[in-house]
Amino acid sequence: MGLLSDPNRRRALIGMLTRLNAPICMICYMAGVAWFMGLAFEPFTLRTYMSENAMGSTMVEERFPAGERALATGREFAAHKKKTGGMPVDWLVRTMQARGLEVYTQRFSRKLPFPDEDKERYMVKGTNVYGILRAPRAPRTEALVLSAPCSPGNENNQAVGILLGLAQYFRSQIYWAKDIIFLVNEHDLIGMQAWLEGYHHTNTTGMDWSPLQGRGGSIQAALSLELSSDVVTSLDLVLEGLNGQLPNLDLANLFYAFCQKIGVLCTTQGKLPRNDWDTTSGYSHAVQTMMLMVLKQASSRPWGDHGLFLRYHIEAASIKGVNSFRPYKTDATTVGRLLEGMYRKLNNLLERLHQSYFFYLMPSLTRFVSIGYYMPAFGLLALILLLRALDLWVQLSSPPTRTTEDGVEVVPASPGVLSILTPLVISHLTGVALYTLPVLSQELAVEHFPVSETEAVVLTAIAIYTAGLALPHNTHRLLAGEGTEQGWKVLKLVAVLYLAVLLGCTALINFSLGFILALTLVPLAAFITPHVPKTLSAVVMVILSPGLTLLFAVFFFQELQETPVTLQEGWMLYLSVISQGILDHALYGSLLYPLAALLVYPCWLLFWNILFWK
Amino acid sequence: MAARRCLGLWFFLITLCVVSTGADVLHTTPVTGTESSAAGTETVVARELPEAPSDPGEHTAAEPTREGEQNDRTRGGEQTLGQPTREEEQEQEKTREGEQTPAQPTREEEEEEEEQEQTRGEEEFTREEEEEELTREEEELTTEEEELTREEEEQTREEEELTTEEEELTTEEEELTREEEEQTREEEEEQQTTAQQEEQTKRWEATELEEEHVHDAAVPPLAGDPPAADPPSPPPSKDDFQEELVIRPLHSGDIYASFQFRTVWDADFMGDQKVSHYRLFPKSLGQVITKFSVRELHISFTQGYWRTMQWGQPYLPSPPGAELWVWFQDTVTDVDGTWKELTNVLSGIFCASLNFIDSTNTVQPSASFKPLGIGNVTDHSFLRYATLPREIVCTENLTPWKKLLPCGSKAGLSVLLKSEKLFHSTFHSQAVHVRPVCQDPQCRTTSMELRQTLNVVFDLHTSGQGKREWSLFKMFSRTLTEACPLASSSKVYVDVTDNPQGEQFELSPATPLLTQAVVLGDRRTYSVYDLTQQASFGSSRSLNMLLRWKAADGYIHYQPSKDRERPHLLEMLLQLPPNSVTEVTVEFERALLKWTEYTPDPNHGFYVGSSVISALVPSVVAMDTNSTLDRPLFSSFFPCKEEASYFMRVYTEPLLVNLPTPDFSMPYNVICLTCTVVAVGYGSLYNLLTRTFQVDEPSPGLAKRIANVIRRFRGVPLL
Repeated sequence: MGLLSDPNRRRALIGMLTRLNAPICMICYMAGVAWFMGLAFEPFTLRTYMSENAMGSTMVEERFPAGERALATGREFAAHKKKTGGMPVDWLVRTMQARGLEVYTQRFSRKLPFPDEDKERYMVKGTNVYGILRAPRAPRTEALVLSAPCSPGNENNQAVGILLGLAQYFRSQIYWAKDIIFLVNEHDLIGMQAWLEGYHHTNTTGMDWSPLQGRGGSIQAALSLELSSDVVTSLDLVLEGLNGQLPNLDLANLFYAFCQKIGVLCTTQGKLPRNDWDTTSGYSHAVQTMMLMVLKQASSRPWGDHGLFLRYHIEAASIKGVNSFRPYKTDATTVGRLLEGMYRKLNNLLERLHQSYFFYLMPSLTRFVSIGYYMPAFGLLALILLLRALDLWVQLSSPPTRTTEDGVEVVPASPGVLSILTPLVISHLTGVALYTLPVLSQELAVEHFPVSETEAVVLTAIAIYTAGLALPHNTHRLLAGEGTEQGWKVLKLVAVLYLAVLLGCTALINFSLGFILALTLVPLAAFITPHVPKTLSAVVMVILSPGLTLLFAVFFFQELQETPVTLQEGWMLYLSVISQGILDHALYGSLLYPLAALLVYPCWLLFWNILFWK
Repeated sequence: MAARRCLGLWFFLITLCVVSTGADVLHTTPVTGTESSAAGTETVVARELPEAPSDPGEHTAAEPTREGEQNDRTRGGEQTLGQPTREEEQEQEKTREGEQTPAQPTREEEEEEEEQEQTRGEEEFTREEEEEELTREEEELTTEEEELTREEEEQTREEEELTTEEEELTTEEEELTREEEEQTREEEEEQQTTAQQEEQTKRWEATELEEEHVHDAAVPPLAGDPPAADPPSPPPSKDDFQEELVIRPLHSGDIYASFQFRTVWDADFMGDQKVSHYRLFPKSLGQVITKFSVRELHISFTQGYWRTMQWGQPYLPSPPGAELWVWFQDTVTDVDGTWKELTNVLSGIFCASLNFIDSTNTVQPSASFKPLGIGNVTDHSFLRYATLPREIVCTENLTPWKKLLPCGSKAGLSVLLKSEKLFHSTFHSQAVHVRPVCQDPQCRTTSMELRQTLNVVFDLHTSGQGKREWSLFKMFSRTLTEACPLASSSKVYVDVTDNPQGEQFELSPATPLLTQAVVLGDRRTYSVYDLTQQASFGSSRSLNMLLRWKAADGYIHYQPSKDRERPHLLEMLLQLPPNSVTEVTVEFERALLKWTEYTPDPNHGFYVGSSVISALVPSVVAMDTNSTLDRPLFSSFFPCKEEASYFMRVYTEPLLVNLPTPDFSMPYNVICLTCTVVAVGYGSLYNLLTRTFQVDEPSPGLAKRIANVIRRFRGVPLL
């Protein structure tokens, strides 16, 4: 306060900020990256702990005995699945009824905007089967969900087997206080979407489904089980949901607690927690785990069937059985006991999970970084934008007055609104085209080029993206005449503030996405002026553009997963990632595609415009 | 090939006749000869079924009270007329079995059960035909030798001819005819007994509909002025004209209007003396009847198909297109020649292409289409029947039809018959029936009856503009101002059976006159407007009945909440259609509460109590309304107001709603933050505001003072 209330000192401060702007920005950027990398360093992170009192104090005793029988049921399920060539609805209904559940089915159908080549589907029709175990003496106000997908091929049969086995065992217990819904969903997320929309009586994506005949109460928590082998070496916990939403950390804690208790190896991102944090390999292991989580979260897509529950404020996670070459194996009974323990603990909940964190990163299953620790990393990057904006503001408010020959001071005319508005509007129109045209013009593209619909959509998107680079710059000259020095500064000020707000909002909702975008866009926003060398800057800009960021992310992700790909494979993967992104938006309402097309890309185009300002 | 096609046509026509035997059963003497046409019948029965039923479920649901003291003899008599309905109902019964089962016993009575079982047996016959086919065959084989031999014969025939299917069909057909015979016999007995009673009741009110019976005793008390207000039928005059309009609101929201004009003339066309003086009876028709020695003539022109599924049974059924059937006097020698001439003449009279009727589309049904008038003629060689399904009915058929009326389209009900409205409908059927009827109860002399009917169904969406609101003006673009001066009776009936308390629709102007009639096996209640009485027209001198359907939710009471004072209350009175799902959705917004209003466990959610459904449900057995009786305690809590229904209350499950909940660990953070802000911000601000600037002469330090002392000694300026 004292600093700012003194005009002299304020001037001095501003003078220092403008003078040392570039070095400060450099320092901020490096500090931000360093902070982020430091998040994976164990001494800087917190150990996970159970916050929820209802789940913490008393351990339950798990008694699930019937793992082998569950596996047999799974094999029966597999046989019926093969026979009907899809979801064996009748068999499931009968089996669930035989286990004493209230059984209902839900039909749904969905036509994808264009064929999904990864999963080979276009017109999707299916049936969800779910059985409700009614809690004795409970008024149907709360429910828990255990789901297993009915996947094509030989996948997930054991998961359905264990689900039915648990249903049978749970049915004979009397301690349930919440209804337990056993759901077998077809067509993975599409079925789940239909079921959730039916359950909550909403329709956000224009899907066709029959209304649910039976409901429990409000769902408190949900687990999705994926298991494709009779024995597992470890269980992997998947948390990342739609739009980077995460379940309450206590759910992860619960899983970890029971893994510890029962003695099952548990992982997140497929990586075991390690204790050797002080070695380089231990640190890089933590970094890899965290980066995988960051990349998955930034992708904004649900990474398991649980992902759509989060939209309804239902804490959910997927548990995947992994069967690797490790010698130590866990049988189905143990997995069943683990689930039983988790459900009994969830059953004890008095309130929905809310005590622990909703925003966190996990460098390992035992460690977490909360929002208070990771936000500064982003804050340091965002600070650069503010500093640049301040610098520009100062430059614009005290224009360099030139004295002409006759001694009259000429103040350069402030740029017209048009010269700012034109690039803004045009770049956003390009964004709208990028958002709408690929899906709309697929038929046209298929007609004229030898490509499939999916390829058509992806290639159209890339074509519009590339065409956007050529189209907009310097169009303002047609309307507003020659661009001025003032003009680009105002435009850049607007663009920098725009980017700051955009990234700030994104980071609040989805930190990972915001941070990755900031990492590439902020340096670009900081250094671009019309006076830098054009060709070199253009190359750098293209490399740092959102589209190529995605490409690098794809390679990086494969690298982290220890499945490196060649350039060719990487490119194909890149194309499929784009198509998946568009599909995720259409099917589940993932926001990444519209965000990138309608806001980030136009914002990047503004800087492109500044580079070619004349 | 040509021969086969002819055969096919022949079969088709025959089947038509046999199917309608049900309707004519009243007049049938036991028929044994139907076996010959057996193969075709079964197929037609099967074909006719899906498009039949009236809705028994709804009747029972709407009128649970109707049971008990009803005169079952009359009812039995009615059944014969209602028979085809019942037979055809089964298709719907099949679909509605679930909801109907509780309602069925209400309809039945102990006494009636036997008869009903009879008819029901017939219904079930086709319903379970697949199952029964085999078992019945086996039974027959074991029990009756004759049948055995017949079967053998058939088997041999079958070897020569076609498949096993035909055999099944024939056996079934035998069953069918046998049952029909039995029934006919029974019904005839009943008919005799009812006939006497009918005559007694008929005496005090001229019955316009042949199916109509008036039951004094059954008129509900709200009919303050029972039909006794109607004038007793006048002493038999030479000729007599009656007109009548029945309006029935259909469940689909459409409306059905049926006109009937009846002219009865005591002239004897069959006698020797020539009839030459015509008053009310149309001369054109009279001459035709005389010239061609017609005993009975039935002609109908229909445009559209009667949708029984949605509309129930019509008062007078008719096939799409034109239908003509005529009984000639037995004095006619060349029946075919007369028929040919007659069709040509009628073609001219009605401006229709009846002249296309020739031997290729004329049949002589032997079992069906018995005479509807008096006279027990069994020789079907005097009967000719033809249909022209392609005949398109339009105004040129309506105009000559209207000209047959005594008042034309000048007065009375016939002013409503404006063609532009009548043909702007989903169903239009006009017919002329000429037949001899009894002049008096003893039936010593006969008179000729001409009955002109016109049935029309107005569509809710095309003519009603989607609004469930009807008036005479809306339907016909005319209102009624007077009765036909030549008519002895002129009445408008509105079917209010489904609307006993006026909760479904309201009728204005209201009329105190109510009458009941048994139509198609069901007792219906009608509001009556007598046009011969000036009072019907009211002060405006014209009658424009208005029928306004009430909204399905008869009553909504909503009391909005006041924050922290009272909750919302939403009450709705709903009439639910059977076998349907009703969903009540309430939209709400989540709001933040005041922070003290949160419960200790706010993340558990907030409860919304159960909704309550209170209903009167039709009861399977008659409920006991006497609450003073000594009954088990568990059965006597809810007082029972009426016998036919019981009270029921359903509670839905409570809801758990999550409200936005602040993080209650936040206050700690907030306190920390505010303390910091206050400390830093307020401190410096206070500092800025309260600081005063003064020029202060600092007292020099010790070193400086010493230095100055030295300087003074040296004589140089001080520091």
